[in-house]
Formats: sequence, C-alpha cells, structure tokens
Amino acid sequence: MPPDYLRAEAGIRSWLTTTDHKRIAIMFLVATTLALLLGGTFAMLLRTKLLTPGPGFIEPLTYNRLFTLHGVVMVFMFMIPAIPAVFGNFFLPMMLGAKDLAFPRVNLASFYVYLTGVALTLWGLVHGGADTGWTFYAPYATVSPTDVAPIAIGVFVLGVSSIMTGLNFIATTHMLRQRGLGWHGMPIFVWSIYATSVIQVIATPVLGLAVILVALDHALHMGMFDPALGGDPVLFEHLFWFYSHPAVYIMILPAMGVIGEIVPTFAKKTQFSYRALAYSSLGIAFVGFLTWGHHLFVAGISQLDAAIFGVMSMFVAIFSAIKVVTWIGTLYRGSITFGTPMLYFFAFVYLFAFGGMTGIAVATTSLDVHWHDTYFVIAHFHFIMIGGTLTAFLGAIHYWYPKMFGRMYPERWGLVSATLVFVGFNLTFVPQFLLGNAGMPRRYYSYPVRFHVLNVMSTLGAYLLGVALVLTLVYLVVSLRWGAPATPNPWGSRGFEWRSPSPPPVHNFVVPFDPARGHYAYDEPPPDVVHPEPP
Amino acid sequence: MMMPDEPSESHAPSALGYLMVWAALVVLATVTLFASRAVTGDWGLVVALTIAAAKAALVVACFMHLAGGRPIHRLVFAVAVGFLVLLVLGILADVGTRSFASSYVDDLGRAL
Amino acid sequence: MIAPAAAAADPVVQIQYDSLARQHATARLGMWVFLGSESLLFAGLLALYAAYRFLFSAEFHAASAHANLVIGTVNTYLLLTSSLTMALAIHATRQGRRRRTVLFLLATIALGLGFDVLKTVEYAGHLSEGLAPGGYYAYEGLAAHGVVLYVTLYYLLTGLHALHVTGGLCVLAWLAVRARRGDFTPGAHIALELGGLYWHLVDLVWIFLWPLLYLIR
Repeated sequence: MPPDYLRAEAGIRSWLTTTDHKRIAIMFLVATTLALLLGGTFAMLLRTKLLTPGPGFIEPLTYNRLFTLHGVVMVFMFMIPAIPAVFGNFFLPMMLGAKDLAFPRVNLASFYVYLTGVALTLWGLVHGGADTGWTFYAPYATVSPTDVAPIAIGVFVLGVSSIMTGLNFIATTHMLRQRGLGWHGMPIFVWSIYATSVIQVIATPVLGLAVILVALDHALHMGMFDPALGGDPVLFEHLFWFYSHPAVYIMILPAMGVIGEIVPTFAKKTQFSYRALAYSSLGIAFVGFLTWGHHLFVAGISQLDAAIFGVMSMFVAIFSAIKVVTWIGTLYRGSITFGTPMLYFFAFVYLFAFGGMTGIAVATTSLDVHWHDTYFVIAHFHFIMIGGTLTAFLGAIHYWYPKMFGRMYPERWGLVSATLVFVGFNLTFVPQFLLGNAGMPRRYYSYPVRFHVLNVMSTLGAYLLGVALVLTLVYLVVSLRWGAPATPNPWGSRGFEWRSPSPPPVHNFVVPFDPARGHYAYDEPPPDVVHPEPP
Repeated sequence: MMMPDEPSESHAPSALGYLMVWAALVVLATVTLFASRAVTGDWGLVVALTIAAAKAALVVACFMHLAGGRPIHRLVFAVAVGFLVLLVLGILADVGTRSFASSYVDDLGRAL
Repeated sequence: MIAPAAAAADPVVQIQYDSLARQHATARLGMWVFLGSESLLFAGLLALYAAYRFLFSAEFHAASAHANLVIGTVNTYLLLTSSLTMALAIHATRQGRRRRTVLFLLATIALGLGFDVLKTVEYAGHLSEGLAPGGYYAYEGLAAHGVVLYVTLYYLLTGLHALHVTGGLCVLAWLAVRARRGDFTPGAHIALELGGLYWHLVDLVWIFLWPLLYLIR
C-alpha cells in the first residue's frame, strides 16, 4: 500500500523542507508542546516561590522575569498558535477536500518565522530577560533596567508567523473548497478557524507596531509614551489591547471549533443549530474588536470611554452563550459515548462558562475597580485559557490522534489524566478567585500571611496539574509507537476528515469525498473510506 | 462564494485610461497644495483628508482594479479600512473626552 | 518586442489547484489580505498621530512649518507617477510587449529610488538642524513637547513608509529581471500583478501621509 504522509519520505531533510500541511502541523505540534512545557516550568517555579509569603528561593527580580516570560511564552508561543497551526494546518485542507493549503511554501515559512521568534525571545530570556510583565506597559517598559528589546522583537516576529498562518487559512477557505462544498456545508471547525484568521491578520499588525515602539522607546528614547517627553503611556495600552483583546478570541475560537466537532461525533447527532454556531464565530470575532478599553478602566481613560467599552464588552457574551446552548442542545436526545474527548468537552463547557461569567464580572467597570490587577483577573483568564483553550487542545489531540498517527491512545489513561487535569486545574485557580477578591495583587513577589493557606492550595493544585499534563504527554508519545493500530474512523464520525485512511496519504484523499453526504449527517450511516490501491 | 474562473484583467483600463487617472491624481495633489493655503485649521484637515480620500479611491479603483474586480477584494479592503477607522476613533474617543468626562482632574479642573 | 522568450518555463499549477486561473485568483486574494494587514500596521501610528495632534494642536502646527514642503511635494508627484508607470508595465505585459514592460518597471524603480534619495536628503537636513526624534531632539527654536512628538511621529511614519518603499524597490528589481527573462506572458504574469498591488499600496499610504505631515496650516 502506498505510504501515508508520515512514511512517504524519510529523513530529517524531507521534514525540514516539506510543504505538506500535515507534516508542518506535526512540526508545530512538537514546537508548541515544548513551548507549553517551558511556560509551564516557569509557572511551577512561580507557584513554588509563592508557597511562602516572604522571601523565597528565587530573587524578586528573577520572579518578575519569570512571570513576564511565563506570559510571553504561554501567550505567543502556545495559546495563539497551538490549535490553528497544529489542527488548523492538519485538518483545514482535509475538511475542505483540498490537497493542501493555498500557499504551502508560506506555510513552511510561517514555521521558520515562528522558530525565529522563539529563538529571539529565548535569547532575550538568557540575556537577563524583561521584568515588565507580558504586557510591556509604558512607562516602566521604557525605563526598565532589563533588556526589553529582544523579547519585544521576538514577539513581533511571532506575530508575523501568526499573520502568515491567518492569511493562508483565509485564502484556502475562500478558494480551495471542493466542488459541491459551499460555505454552509463546511465543518464548524473551519468557520472557527476562518474567524480566528480574520482576527489574526487584522489585529496582529497593531501589536507588532506597539512592541516595536516599546523597543524603540527603551533602546532609543523615542518618547512616544514617555510623559517626560510629552507622551501618554495610556496610548500604549490602547494599541496593545486593541490586539490583545481580540487575541483572546484567537485563543478561544479555535477551541470552540474543536468542541463543535467533538460534540456531534460523541453524541451521534447533528448540530442543534449549525448556523448559530457558524455565525456566532464571526460575531465573536467582530464584537471582540470593540471591547479593548475594558483593560484600561483604571488606567486613566475618560469615564465616557470606559462606559462605552463596558457596554460593548457585554455583547460578546451573547455569542458565547449561543454556542454553549447549541452544544448542550446537540447533546439532548443524542446517543452519548464518554470517550476522553468527551470528558474534555464536559470540562470545557463547565470551566468556560464559569470563566466567561467572571469575564463579564470584570468587564463591569464598578467591579473591575476592585478586581483589576488582582488574582481575580488571573483566575478569570486562566479559566478561559487553560479551562477553555488548553482543555480543548487536549480534547483535540485525543480526538484526532488516531487520524493523525494511525494509532489509538490508551483510553483508560486518557480518562485518568483528564480527571486529574480537571481536579488539578480547579485546585489551582479557584483559590485564586478568592485571593483576588480578598485583595491579593497580581505579579507580587510577597503577600500578607493571611493569604498563606490559599496560596499553598493553589501551588499544590499546580503541581497536580503539571503531573497530569506530563502524564498525558508520556502516554501520547508512547502510543505513537506502541498504541493499538487505529481504524480510519474509530469514533464513527460522519466528518469529512474521517473519510480518509488513518494516517492520511500525502494528498489527503484517494478519491474526493461526496459533500452531499454531510459532515454532520448522523441520520445516515458512516461513509466508506477509500484506501489507496496497492501498487 | 465559488466564483467562476475569470481573468481579472477583463475590465482593465487602457493605457489612455491610466494616463487620465494619473492626470486626475496630479491635479488633485496640486489642488491639495493650494487648498492647504486657503483653508486652515480644523477645516483644512477635513479638506485635505477628503481630497486624499478621493485620490486614494482613484488609485484603489483604477490602478488596483478594485472596481470591476472580484467582490471579495472589495470586502477585504473595506474590512481593513473599517478596523483602521475603529482604532483611530477608539483612541480619539478616550483622548478627546478626557477634558470633560474624566474622573482624574487636577485642582485647576484640567484633566490629568 | 513581441513574444516572450522560450526559456521561460510554463507556469506550474500546484497540486492543490485544478487550474492556473484559480491559482492566480487565490494569489490575488492572498495579496489583498496581506495589503489589508499592512494597512493595520500604519493604523497604529495614525492613531497615535491623531491623539497627539488632538492634544497638541498648536505645536503640531508650528512644527509642521519646519517640514520640507518642497521635498515632500516632489516626492508625492514621484510616487503618483510611479503608480502610473507600474500600471503601464502590467499593461505592456498584457500586450506581450516585453521590452516595454522592462522599461516601465525600470521607470518605476527610478521614481521610487528618487523618492528614497530625496527622503535621505530630507532626513539629513533635519538631523543637521537638530530636528531628531525623541530624546535626541536638539532644536533650540522650538522645544515644546508637542513639537518633539510631531517630529518623532514624522520619523516613525515616514520611516516605516520608506522601509516599505525600499522593500518594494527590491521586489520591483527582481520583477524587472524576470520580465527581461521573459517569464511573463499576456495570460500569466501573477508576480507582476502582485508586485503592482503592493506598490500601489505604498503610494496610497503616502497620499495620506503628505497632507497629515506637511500641510498642517
């Protein structure tokens, strides 16, 4: 039988010069996983220091560098690229019936640009590293004694990679759909990736400019945000959050897309409302651009501006709620199986709903005045980033593992580690809501003794979460070689990507799938998979 | 949005057409120069930007073939311009209203 | 000059496309998305300009008087004309006129180079007077904060734009080489079209920078 994409060409060189979207996806998977491990290591160090209220085993300056790098690495090297560059790359063409992305060489280039950004950032880390927080706020970022410019430039380069990915996905979605596949036949994952890509190409340039200006201000005293030279630091925050708020939708929309694929498969039922899910993705992408000022409520913007942004921030919840209702509605009267991906869905919907509600809470100006820059905000966004994005990422890797690698992961270990991840996560971050509400500020090296117990709980939770994630990584890697061989469609999904062999051949499908048999057509039997002819 | 394969140049202007667009651009640029002397202050800015928009429209529509090209190109362009405007307005909405809608005021009543 | 050289390979249709036309249409769409993205890069600086001009209206007015209106205006005409020559270069390719294509491309490059040269002269002139950005500002006649901000924004905006011009010149030079080689046929000249779109964007940005920086009265 003709070899699949993993075995078609051997040797490192064939991988490093590939233009096959599936191989590029695997390379991104390795890279983003390493980034997750690195960012997670920083988190473990931070939480370990926070076991004690007073001085600890790391210096205060080191602590500041660690939380800066934790943020930079996690946001720009994992959260933003992970689901799009791994699962978007792998499955967008397959879900459209295409043989590759619109611009395969741009795709490969985006991987090397990503690596360059990583290298620059790590170089900055080694050479002292910034202590400004991942948000690089002026005026401190312009006067910090640490080396801000390398990390800022690294972030800029990572942003370029993000734009390249988004551009490729947009062009592919418009132009490479198979004959007979219209916009309303596309999988929900594609809609989510498309909405994400629009945000990426529109918002990221503004971040790029903002970090370059900070680097220039720091290195060359440009004074754009320096009050001593007439600059206004709040303007930096406007530019930074104009990107960074939509960026959180770059992080969550692909996650929602994954959920939109897992739920019908594991409920053996079509979407409760396809159009609600599809259009709500566009709605989130658009409204997400109108809300950035809620990060500036106490920064000194005008009260009128704060009021406008506060009201606009409420609207995003509508689209998120539509999605939650639709997923639950899909489950109703479905024939539910409880595989690991489905467990991750349950964790996702619970944690995302909670995290989202606390988001509405902090978007309320009168409440944010108290919660801003406390652990409440940290807990809120970790509920979304870990409880939402990482959970969905884990769901995705388990859901699509058999397709990508032709092997099954051990289901029992999957259930165990999913449970441990969920427990560890809650133990880490629920105490942080309480800490923040009690007034513990974020990014602080030390804290009053009355916060001790909650901090210890949170750290123990973090250790548990770390162990659970490492456990997951171990069995996933082991299964690459020793997992049970997978059939083309172990979940019985109707999805287009499941109509190819596992792993897929180099050009994805042996014969084009028939889009008339829909991606969510659970009232029909699963379509056949055509395997390549033996030579 | 499955567009039939069509050459995008089917409606491209002739060489003379391009020349006329260029002439219009040169005229408009010259008009801008004189207008900037005639109309000053805030209105001067409005006039200058309006003429610039007209020149931009000519370049985009005729040289870049946005007119007569595929609708998706127009959508992409419109979206980009829309978000550019959003960013500028969002920042101006803050800076422009601090003087009368800020909670941070110094003892002379000026916004901080 | 009529037929393209036989040395040029037939354009390759990549495996994921079923026709060259679709491949080219996709490239055009990709280019428009890229141009949209680049516009947002300038948007941030324009927003800063708007904010600071609002806050320091009088100083911006005073500072703008020191801008080199002559060079700024000549540069405007140079870029407008370069857009014309670019469009005419593509027009010539559609007619199969290889030498004319190369000539118009060279003209575009020359005009763009002229822009860059004048820009350099302009910068040198300002810097010698002490009209430098940010902390390096050393012009005694006018020292208010708003003035320094205007000058810094001037360098940032025109500097970012000039970077794009220079990058564009490199692309145009490569396109000229390819055109001379005969790579472009009347039916297939996508690289030329994409280069043209980029170059027009560069002109488009300057159409707005010129009144904003040079014509504040």
